[in-house]
Amino acid sequence: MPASPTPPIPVKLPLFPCTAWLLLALLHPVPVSADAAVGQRIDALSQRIGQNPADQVLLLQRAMAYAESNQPDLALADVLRAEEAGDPVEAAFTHGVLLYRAGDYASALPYFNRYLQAYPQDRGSLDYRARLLRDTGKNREALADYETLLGLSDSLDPGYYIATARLLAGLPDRGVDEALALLDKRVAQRGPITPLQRYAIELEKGRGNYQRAIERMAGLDQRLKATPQWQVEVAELLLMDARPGEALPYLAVAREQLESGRTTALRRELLATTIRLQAEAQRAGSGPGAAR
Amino acid sequence: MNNPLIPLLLVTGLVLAGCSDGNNNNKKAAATCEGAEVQPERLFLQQLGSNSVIVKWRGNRDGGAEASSLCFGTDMAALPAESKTSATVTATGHSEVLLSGLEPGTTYYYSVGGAGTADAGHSFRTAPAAGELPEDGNTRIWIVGDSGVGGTDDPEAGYVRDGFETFVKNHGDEPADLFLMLGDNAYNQGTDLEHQKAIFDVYTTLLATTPLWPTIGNHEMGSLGISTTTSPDDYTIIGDGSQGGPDPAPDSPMPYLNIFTLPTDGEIGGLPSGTEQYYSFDYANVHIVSLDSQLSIRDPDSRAAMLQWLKDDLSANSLDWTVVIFHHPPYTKGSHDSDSELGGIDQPIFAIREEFTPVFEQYGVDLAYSGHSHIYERSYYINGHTGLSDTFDPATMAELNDSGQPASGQGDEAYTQIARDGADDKVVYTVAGNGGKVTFTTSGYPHPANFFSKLEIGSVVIDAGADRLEASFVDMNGSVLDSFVMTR
Repeated sequence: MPASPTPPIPVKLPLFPCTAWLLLALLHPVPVSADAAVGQRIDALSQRIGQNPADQVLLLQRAMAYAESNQPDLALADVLRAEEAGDPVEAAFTHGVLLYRAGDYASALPYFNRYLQAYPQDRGSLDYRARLLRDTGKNREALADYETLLGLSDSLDPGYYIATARLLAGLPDRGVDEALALLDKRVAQRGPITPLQRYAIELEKGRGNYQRAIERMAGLDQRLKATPQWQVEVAELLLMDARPGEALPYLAVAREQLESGRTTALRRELLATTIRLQAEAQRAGSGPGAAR
Repeated sequence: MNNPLIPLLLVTGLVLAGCSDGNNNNKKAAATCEGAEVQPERLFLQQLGSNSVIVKWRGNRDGGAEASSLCFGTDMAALPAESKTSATVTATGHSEVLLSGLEPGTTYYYSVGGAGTADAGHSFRTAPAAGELPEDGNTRIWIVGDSGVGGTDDPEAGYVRDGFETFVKNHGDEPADLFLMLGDNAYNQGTDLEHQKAIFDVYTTLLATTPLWPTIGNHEMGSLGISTTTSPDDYTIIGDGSQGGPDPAPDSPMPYLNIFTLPTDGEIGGLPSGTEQYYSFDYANVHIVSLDSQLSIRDPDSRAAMLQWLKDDLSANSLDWTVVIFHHPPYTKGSHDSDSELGGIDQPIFAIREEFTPVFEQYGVDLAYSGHSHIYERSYYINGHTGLSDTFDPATMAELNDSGQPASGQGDEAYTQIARDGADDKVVYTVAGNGGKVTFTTSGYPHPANFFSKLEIGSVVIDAGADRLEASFVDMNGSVLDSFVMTR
């Protein structure tokens, strides 16, 4: 599209996730570092509200400003006025966020439901409700929201994919295979994102599929594979898979790497781990039926 | 948003060869570009590496048409016609050109609009080959934090910039190789317009020659800086929109993510993060990590993913020096108090201190820079301080001098990368949220982990050589008010 020096400003005024600060301020009456702009903002909003006392948008804006300047009673009053001033659905999201932040998940949920009935693809509401449902153990419902979110946005950070994969893995009728498919799909789209790959490795380990976990270790970024840490992790998996003889070469490489180069605290710990695992592998390797 | 530029890999070594021999009179002169130079309203460099750079621009200061292409070359008087490269235009109207196949450690000149010549101010020098030092033996990094006051029409960030320029003039005229911003880059709400006023109108000259690498502050998420949401999709503003608002779809509503084109796939070194919210890159002998202490850190799954990525990224790093930047400081008694979550707004301070500083220390980070508090505060060379300020024990947590006191990092108390305990397990933490304003201090000031604290606007200059690094706090007059040295 043609370049535009100043993009249009589609302010979705009724959607104020940060109005959560209203309640947060109520619950935590600590002095908030108020920007000088906030006081000016309150004055300006008050003036406009004086001219339009039933303007829902202005009331919600002033509530936010009150919240930041640690005036929770006034903030709450404005929120309640805002709910009465217009369609209550428009205030439902904000109300839900306030209750969520207060830890009153049971009360918050109906507000998110109500808002999402009106705006089923609103990312902010889906995000809050997904986390609420996740945090209250309603995993199937949480998963549905996470899956909707992933479908709506391609730029969510890797944590969203891990959250979704965890929920998938925990549901008997969905399971680890679906979780792994989700992680693999994202890696195929975006490249070797190690937190996703590592969660996949955890899932393989969790179901005792050490060989597949080892294969997934081989798929990590080349730079990571050049580290002693990678050698040690592969060796640990081989030991879990009762293959001590195969673990020893990895440990030997790790030890050589760790005995030279920069002495970080991590490398010190890794060296100690390597030496311990070498002894373990040698013991296991000399025992009956240890090697496969 | 990350914008795929693969189709624009138009630049080849052949082109570069053709434009690198402008002084050879025996050769037939190559045809030069014939377009007209355009002076964009914003012009900046992204992801500068050894072999590539992204040139990004928008607008036309003279009010005419925007440029749709760029020419470049090593001879500023003759930019070859073959170098002409068309731009991709994003939904928010930014034009981007990825120049690849460049030679390491080489100065290139460019003309936005595709003229046959370029002025010296439109140039960049590619990074040295991986792991090698720049030609002058030193990597110079300029860092500003909370500098976004231009967004509210205040001039102090310009004073800080002038102080840096004076420092450069007085210290051998060595320009910055990298420009890092510590968040709150555009007050009050990180809108596109506020970015224009606070960044592109303030650092105009620098940005045309020096790559900018930012991190996310609380004000980048709008809401006057009090947002605690975890997703950029929740970006919103409080106010009448006179300074702008969310960016339009299909781009992110969060202007920061649309203005900057940041690595997600380890394009300039470092491990792929899969998100522009946090990333890492290499420049010469320095590895730099930018963490997201505003969004990803607030959700347990996203925080765990970022922490895992950080561990892996640092494990794979073998460069001489490692610097981490993020917005929320673990040790501060400036305008924010690292002993208070401030009703949740400053929860990231605790997450950084409790979960991330142990990783920095264990994985060989040397320096950590943050903003948020509008002050300069520089710690001792420390580790293991994950509690409130009253738990800081200098005897066990700080590098000590010969007298058993916390070492200053100055004179004969210079820090060594491998500390006295024989391990590289300590970090110097600096708050430099004084890039545009200083405000006040909080109860308990100064923080006991900090060696030097001062309410004075300024910035930080890091000079990183092969075996010696010096970090300086430079005021608006170009004077150095604090510095320390680390050797390896």
